[in-house]
Amino acid sequence: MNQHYKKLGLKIPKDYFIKSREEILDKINIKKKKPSKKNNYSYYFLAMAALFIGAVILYDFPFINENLIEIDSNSPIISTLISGEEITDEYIIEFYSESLVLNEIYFGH
Amino acid sequence: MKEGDLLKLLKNPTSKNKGFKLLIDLYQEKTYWMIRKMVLSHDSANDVLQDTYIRIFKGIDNFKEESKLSTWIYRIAFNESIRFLNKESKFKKVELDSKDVNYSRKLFADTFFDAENLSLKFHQILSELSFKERNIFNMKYFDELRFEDISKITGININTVKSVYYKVEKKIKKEINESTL
Repeated sequence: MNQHYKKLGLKIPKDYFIKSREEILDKINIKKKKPSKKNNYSYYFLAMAALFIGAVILYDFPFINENLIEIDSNSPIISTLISGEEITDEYIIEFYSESLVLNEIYFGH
Repeated sequence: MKEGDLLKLLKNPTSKNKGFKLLIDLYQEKTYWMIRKMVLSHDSANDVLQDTYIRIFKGIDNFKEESKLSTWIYRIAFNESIRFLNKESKFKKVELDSKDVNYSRKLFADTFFDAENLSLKFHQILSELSFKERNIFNMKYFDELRFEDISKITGININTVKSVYYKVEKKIKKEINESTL
């Protein structure tokens, strides 16, 4: 990418790409290893969900029909139950923005 | 390594990490330069690059192979850069047909920019282009992407991409000595 320097004068620090690679891998590993507190919350939500679903099955609530039990996999709440991450405002914002970055084209004309 | 083989590694949970390291080795540099030319400063480009690859890691299982893997990666980088630019200028969102009024300020504030005669001339012309024109030119001329891929990455019609590129190329050739370009 020499012409980025030659024509545009853009430089990078020495060994940048080696260091950047390590930083990216570190961030991914840290996220994976992040422990307990989040899991405690997820167990709480999981337990609540299990209680709710159990109650629905047990009491056969008349106001709930089959359509309402369908799980929306695009919901951040369901996503936290599956992933074990803590549900916070930041998580919800991140969830929707990630969905946007991965799936949308900003300027589709 | 072929994209298909890399995808097999990435889609298999036991080889995902190995595949991801290979993916970084293959695409990191090109992705960085694409981002750098959009956000201009090295520090910003570094942040966007990291976020881009974290998103790629998280989203690879949902990659539906409707485009080349590289195109998908660059599209995430492009979208992530726009997200960054929108966040950076809180009150005015990036618009396709508008210029970046802070282009020169961002460039000269960056310690990793060398202001030489040629680079200054290039940047002067680029700063006068709209966001759409600048990015189409950069992707074709510097990143050597195909028109079809640029269209998929930016979501801009391929014929528009071609006509914008040739128009800008002609303009730049006129202003900079043709042999230099």
